[in-house]
Amino acid sequence: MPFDSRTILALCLLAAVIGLPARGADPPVPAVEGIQQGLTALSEGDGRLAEQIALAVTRSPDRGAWRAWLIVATARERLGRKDEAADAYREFMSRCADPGERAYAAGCARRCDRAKAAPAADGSRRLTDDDLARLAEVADQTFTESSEHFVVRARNAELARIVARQAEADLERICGTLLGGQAYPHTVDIHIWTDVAEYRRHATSAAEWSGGSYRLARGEDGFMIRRIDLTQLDAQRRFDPAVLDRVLPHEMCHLVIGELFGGAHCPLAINEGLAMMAEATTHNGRIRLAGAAVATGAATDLSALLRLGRCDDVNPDVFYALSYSLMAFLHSRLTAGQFRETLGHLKDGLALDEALQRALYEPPNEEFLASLERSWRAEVLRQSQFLQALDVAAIPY
Amino acid sequence: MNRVLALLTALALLAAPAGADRVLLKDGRTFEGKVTEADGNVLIEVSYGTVKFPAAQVESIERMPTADEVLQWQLGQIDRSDPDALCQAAEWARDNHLTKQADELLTDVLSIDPNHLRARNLLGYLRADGKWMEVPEAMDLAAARLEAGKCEPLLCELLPAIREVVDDPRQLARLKDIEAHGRLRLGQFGLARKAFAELAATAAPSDAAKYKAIAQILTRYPEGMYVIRETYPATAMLLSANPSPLKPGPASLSRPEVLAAALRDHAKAEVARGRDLMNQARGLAKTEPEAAKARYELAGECFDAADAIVPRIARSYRVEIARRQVEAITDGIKVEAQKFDLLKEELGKRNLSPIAYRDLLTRMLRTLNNIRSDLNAVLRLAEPFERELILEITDAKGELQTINALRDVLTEQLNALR
Repeated sequence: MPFDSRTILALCLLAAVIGLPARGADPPVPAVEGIQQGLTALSEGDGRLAEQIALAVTRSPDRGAWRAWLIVATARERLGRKDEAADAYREFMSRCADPGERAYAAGCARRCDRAKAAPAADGSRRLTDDDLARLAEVADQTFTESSEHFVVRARNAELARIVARQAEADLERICGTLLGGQAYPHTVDIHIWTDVAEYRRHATSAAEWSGGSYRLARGEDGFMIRRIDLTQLDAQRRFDPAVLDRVLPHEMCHLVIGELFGGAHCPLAINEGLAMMAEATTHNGRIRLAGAAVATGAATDLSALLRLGRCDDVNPDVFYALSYSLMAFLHSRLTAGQFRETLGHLKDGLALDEALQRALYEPPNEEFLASLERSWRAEVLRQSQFLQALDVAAIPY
Repeated sequence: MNRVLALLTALALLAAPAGADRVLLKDGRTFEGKVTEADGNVLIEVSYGTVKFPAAQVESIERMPTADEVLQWQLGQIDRSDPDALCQAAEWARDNHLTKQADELLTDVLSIDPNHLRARNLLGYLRADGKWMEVPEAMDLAAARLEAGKCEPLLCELLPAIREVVDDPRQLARLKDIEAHGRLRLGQFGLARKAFAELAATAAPSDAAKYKAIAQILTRYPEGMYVIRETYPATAMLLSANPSPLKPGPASLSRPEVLAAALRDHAKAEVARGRDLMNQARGLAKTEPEAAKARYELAGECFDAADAIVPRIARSYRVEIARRQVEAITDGIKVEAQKFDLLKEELGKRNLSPIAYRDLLTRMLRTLNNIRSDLNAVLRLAEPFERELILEITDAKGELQTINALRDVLTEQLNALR
């Protein structure tokens, strides 16, 4: 044989460096060696070299050479070329028979597609002052607006429409997080009462201080009642955009969790943390409060936080801040699958540390909860210090 | 004269092993083996034992030289300052089970030539890093080289040198393990797969599962590229425990951490299979308890396989199986306890004849025996998981004490009736 594989590989690279046309000109590279060289370049952070080598391998007639498409895709994604990365992931998928690897590549391709798509505006951010003024109007009659999952009743037709649209978007996001994109095959009634007094008259099971509530119960006729009650106007008779950004997704998340857990117990901190996480905007204030509580030693320890059955037993603001920071921390550190699996194990009655260890397929470790608490507290402090450094006092939430 | 002739014949063969004596009986039969004579009998040590004949039945005994005699003759013929010749004699002695003499001769060789390779090898030494070392030390060096990633000199020099001297099966297995991992680290995936498959076929079951899993992974990914689907170690992100975890994406199986991630995925698949079986068992528990039990056993096998690859990965599921089985037994205990209570009520209400009274006590005792047997079963299930099932254990032990006390009372009563 006139050339060994190393020489051929070097020739390929040389051709790439001096700018010879890539397609058709480069000799194919023996698959195993080329793939290994590509992987080495990838692990050393040299995405360009990894891509060049792997592209040469893909032209090899050797069995398994097509697998180099995944190296090409990964290198491109790490180089920020999402469009081309998505194409390469699809090249890999089109040849791959392994369901696990196909699912992985499909997920990566979707991630690349999402990254190139413009972020969608949501919640009240699209509302102008004029819109807010119109949404504060109250008619004599009740308007009903329905969507796939919601029947909204309000004394403002535009508000009913906006709430129905927003509710669908929130539901999709919440189901994506909690149910892995699984469908929610139910209809929910949303009642928007004009003011707090009217709300309290109708949402009788809600806490007095609340501006929104949910109900998931079996009615006297045997049918399930799925209902969310909201308030249109605040004390100053203005429309409060927090109804769209916060209260609606919060209560809806409680509803979905209630549905997910069935009769099983969901610790209050997890339930409230998830509901706050579902809200459309970030809680910078809560992050700072959680950071301050951790820094001053006022934070409840994790095992006690998870055992709390009523937030009245502690400072409610600190409780909500800690619950939110805990769930946001878990959500950011786990994959979507691990997060959902953790919720599934919680539903089966496992404690949070056991559920996490199961979801991560980790052998049981008595020190796990303590390690988790250290890591969570460190993250709370880091985020809170970051916000302090940005001086976000002016940020409303 | 015969003896000298036989000696010379044997020595003509030089390195041949020492032969056996030959006994010719008067009836024509012959036996070969070590012959001794005592009390008018001839004893022949043959491969299957010792046979004995009266000397009167023996026609002739053809004696061969002993191994020691051959060795001494051999030593008389060679130049004892020649290390090669001495070493050859030592090898002959070793082959003929004269271990002590062989070692003495090898020591003599080393006193003449301390670096005599063959003598060193026969004494269990090999040369590595410019010095002589024994096998355990060389093994540790090999493991260190593997860990340091210095696989080429490991495979080309050190391991062949160790293989020359190693004869202990356990050390040989360790040698093969190091070699297989070394080949994998060098990217020799085909050879590594073969080596791991061989190890899987010969290793103890506890190790074989892991070797088999590696061989399967290498069969599935012959080009050595594995797709990491989740950050590894899994806790790295959550607990911030590992500063440079493996990121999701393709990676080479020649990296030990990638192999570890692949093995973990393999174990995860077994756990998932076991979990599915557990779910099936739960569905069957009320209607088909035997089928449920069979599913739990199958699940247990999956968990065994997973634990063999990643120790204790399936422990929480084993605990759950034990807990569910304890619950099922506890339901049975409740039924028996109700039966006992009914019998006890009967005891208080009726005016019983002595026979009926004895019969009732016997039935109560039988019920208690059933409960005791169930409680012992609970303890057998729960005790391996003492930390997780401490309440179940404590309850069962407490109830067992009560049952034993009741049994004593009933037994005493029954004995009094006899």
